Amino acid sequence: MRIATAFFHDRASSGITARQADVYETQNRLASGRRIATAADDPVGAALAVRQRGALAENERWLESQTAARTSLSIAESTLGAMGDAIASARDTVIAAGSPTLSASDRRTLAGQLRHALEQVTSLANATDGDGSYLFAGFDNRSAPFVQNGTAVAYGGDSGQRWAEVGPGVRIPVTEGGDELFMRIPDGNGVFSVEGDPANAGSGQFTVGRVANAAALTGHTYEVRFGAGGTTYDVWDVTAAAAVSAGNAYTAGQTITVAGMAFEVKGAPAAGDKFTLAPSQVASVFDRLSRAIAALEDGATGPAASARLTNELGVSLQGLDRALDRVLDARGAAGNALNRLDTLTGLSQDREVATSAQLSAVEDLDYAKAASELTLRTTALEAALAAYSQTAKRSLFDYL
Amino acid sequence: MANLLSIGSSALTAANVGLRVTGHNIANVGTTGYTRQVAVLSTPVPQFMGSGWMGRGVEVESVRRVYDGFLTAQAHLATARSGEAIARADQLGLVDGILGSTDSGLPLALANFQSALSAASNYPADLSARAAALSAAEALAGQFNDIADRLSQQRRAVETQVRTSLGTVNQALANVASLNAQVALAQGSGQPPNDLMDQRDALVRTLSESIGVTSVVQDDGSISLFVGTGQAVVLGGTASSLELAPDPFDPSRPIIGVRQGGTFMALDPSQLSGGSLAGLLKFAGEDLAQVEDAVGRLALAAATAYNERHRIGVDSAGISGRDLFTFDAPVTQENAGNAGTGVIGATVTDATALAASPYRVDWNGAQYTITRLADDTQASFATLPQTVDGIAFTMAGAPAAGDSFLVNAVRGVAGSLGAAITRPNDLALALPVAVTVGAGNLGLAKSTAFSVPSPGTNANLAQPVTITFTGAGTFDVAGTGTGNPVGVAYVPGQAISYNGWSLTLEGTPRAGDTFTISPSTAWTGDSGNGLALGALGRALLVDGLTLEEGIAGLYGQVGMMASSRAAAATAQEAVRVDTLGAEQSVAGVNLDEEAARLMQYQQAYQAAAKIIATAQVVFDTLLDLGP
Repeated sequence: MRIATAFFHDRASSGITARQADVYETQNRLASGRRIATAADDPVGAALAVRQRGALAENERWLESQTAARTSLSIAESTLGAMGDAIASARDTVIAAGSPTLSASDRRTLAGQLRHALEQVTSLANATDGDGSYLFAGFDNRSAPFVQNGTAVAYGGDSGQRWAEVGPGVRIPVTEGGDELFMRIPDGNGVFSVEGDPANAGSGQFTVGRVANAAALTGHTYEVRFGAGGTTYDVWDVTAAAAVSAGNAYTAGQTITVAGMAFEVKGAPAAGDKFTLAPSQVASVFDRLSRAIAALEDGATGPAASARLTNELGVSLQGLDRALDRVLDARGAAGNALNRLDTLTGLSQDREVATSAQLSAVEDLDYAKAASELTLRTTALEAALAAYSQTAKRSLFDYL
Repeated sequence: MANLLSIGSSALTAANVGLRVTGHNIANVGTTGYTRQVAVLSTPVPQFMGSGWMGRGVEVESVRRVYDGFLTAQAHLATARSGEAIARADQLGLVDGILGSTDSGLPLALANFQSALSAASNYPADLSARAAALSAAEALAGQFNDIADRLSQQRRAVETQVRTSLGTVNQALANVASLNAQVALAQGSGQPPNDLMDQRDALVRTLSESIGVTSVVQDDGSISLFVGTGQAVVLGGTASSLELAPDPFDPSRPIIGVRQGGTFMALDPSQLSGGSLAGLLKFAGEDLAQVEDAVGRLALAAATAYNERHRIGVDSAGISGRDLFTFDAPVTQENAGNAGTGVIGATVTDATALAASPYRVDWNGAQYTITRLADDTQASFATLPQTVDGIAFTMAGAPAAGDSFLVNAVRGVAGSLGAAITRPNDLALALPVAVTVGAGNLGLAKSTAFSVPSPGTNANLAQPVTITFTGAGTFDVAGTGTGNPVGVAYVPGQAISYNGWSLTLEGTPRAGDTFTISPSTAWTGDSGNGLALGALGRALLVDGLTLEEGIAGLYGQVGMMASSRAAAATAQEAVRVDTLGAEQSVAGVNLDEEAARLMQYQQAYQAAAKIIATAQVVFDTLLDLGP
């Protein structure tokens, strides 16, 4: 095949330019450390890299959400811990106040301690997260949810609960409304409560009661009314406005069972004294504290007053027990959530490592391979240059 | 004797011509488009002299080019194909560069936006977190704007290149025509005007780089050039010109065509046989349009989804969310040749069903045909309005039969995308309704999930609804829009949905427990809508893919286009070099070969001179014989 002179030179210089471009490309890759500079270098790899970066970014979001949730839950957990301590200490005070050997001024002192406890509990219920947001206020968290008026504390927040997305399809609650924690605590034993009429003249003291026969519960409110001499009692169904039984004999300390509910009465009720058994309603921890405070500050004396005090302290103690249970449960739940977060964080970190490795495999340069490619391409360039300089010199005109 | 002298002088002349032709070849070794020439020698008619036919020397019949029309035509075609492939590959390389690397640009902006939304959901009362989310939204819109702008600039640059090319092409066509006239005139002398023809061929070669032409040699020596499916651009001594004209559908997009006299005939780029013009036009009409539409669809799907979800929520003052993003409505265009008064309208009704394509609507008098231009899928309807691929098409006015309209819902979105909300408190992170647990509830039933699923447009959403448990396993529902069902079975963990909200309760309730759903009254602690905005990251928003998968697909698509065109360009260039080599192996000058010829003709000249010298001696001898 004939080779035209101009064509020959043109091809040789094109070849040299092409080899130079190859060397330049490998140089660039080595300098950037990337195998894929633009999508054209490896379209499938580029698409894969985008998706893997997206997965890494999503993982990063979960890690950050986990941290935010952890902060919230930790503050809540420690606040609930302090709250539990405060309620437990108030509980001890109430138990101490039940001692019959205390004087009126002793009781007033204890009442003062309970007032202090009430303030402490209220202040803990109004705790913030350090950012100015109240922890136990539901969604209305820019103003203090619990407002104290004398010894009465009202809840002004709502039932809102904030959730955080901390993993794929994993949402955990990071706040709890104050109504759930401190306000909606069942009174009595959780099924029914026993209350004495404040006008009772006798010295009857009641126990907290228990469910004797769950099948017999009717959900009605009953009154146990004592007759003349405090030796008999009638049972009146308030809800149905009907008598249940009459003329039951009473001995001090015996168990009285009404519609599956059982409780004991001690002491000497007077004629006309009433004790009410009602289905449990809600009572707040504050309410239980303020009842104890009111009872201790009531300076009345006498067997009836003393019985009333015992009864009130009993109700208050039972309420504080239930409140403490509620707080400790919530603290436990927060602790469990924190543990779960730790596990999730571990998983997220593992996922981050794995995805980063995959991304690197797709995108990053294999330095060993690239370095040997550079050597190869440089050699090719040198060969092209050498070949040209050898062949371009020869011409027939040299010999003429 | 006289014959010997004439033989000798004919030999001398022939050798002289040979030397001149060889010298001409050597001189033009570097001339582009030069075809080597050879002197064609032949013997004149011999003379009968009784003892035989005596030769009368040599005569130069002609000087002609060593020319293979077939190889030259092949090289023209290969040049055109290579020109087209290279032009298209270069432009796609630029588009590839516009997208950028996978850790910057669009993927990064989307990831930042999603992460800022997540942070605002974790701290809904924090104004700086909200502000960061809004500025990330702005950055995302800005990123789309940037890509759209740069694609737009590239389109304009391509157009400028086309215009400039057309100027060069038209000049070349005019030159070919004038050379045609000169060649025809010169051919009248009976000998081929080699150098003129070489110049003309060189012009056709450079023309082929810009636009593929077919050349046909006429009897008078002129060549006629045709483009496309047979439009003549040079006939004899007349040249037509190529022009740009606005597309009757889209005045912003030019088309090229041939102007002959008063008529303009449009050229379809897909029917050009090659050339950089073909490559540029195909790039602008197919590749660039595809990428612009794909980017636009991503922007539209993202903006619509986030807007819709944001409107469901309420901001920190309880006011319903506004649109997070603004963007242009679908672009509609009536064909400039429409005879009727029809005005087409288009609205996006379902952004998740959109295709990355413009649509053409044709009315033939009896039915409307809607064509998805990306893959030419058609659907026909007797009347409008109709919804196709998530777009509702409507017609106002009266179109005439044969009218057509163009609709593009996606292309202008990326360039016009803007973030509409600037005040941090206007970010709607809270839900418009909230659950209130009855203050007297004694049961252990708790809400484990509450949401307002998309589209959140139930007319009764704000109606207060109370769920009252009548036992541990049943509840009644009271509230406008619920139908007030009673005795509904309670399944812990199963969603309870009325009026467009959804509540999930778990645990055992007691008779009398209530849960009330009513318009929310406090919003700074609620991130319910923020979580839903975050969940859009996993929603299938673009043709069955998530946003991020859609972006990955865009990278893959552009990368594939760029790399496959680059491979095609390399292949076409190799073919061009091969055909050029084949052409040059016949027509190109080889200096060593010419050097040998020089020797040959030089010796021939010396020998011829010797003949004359011998004839001289013979004549002198004859003369010496006289007295």
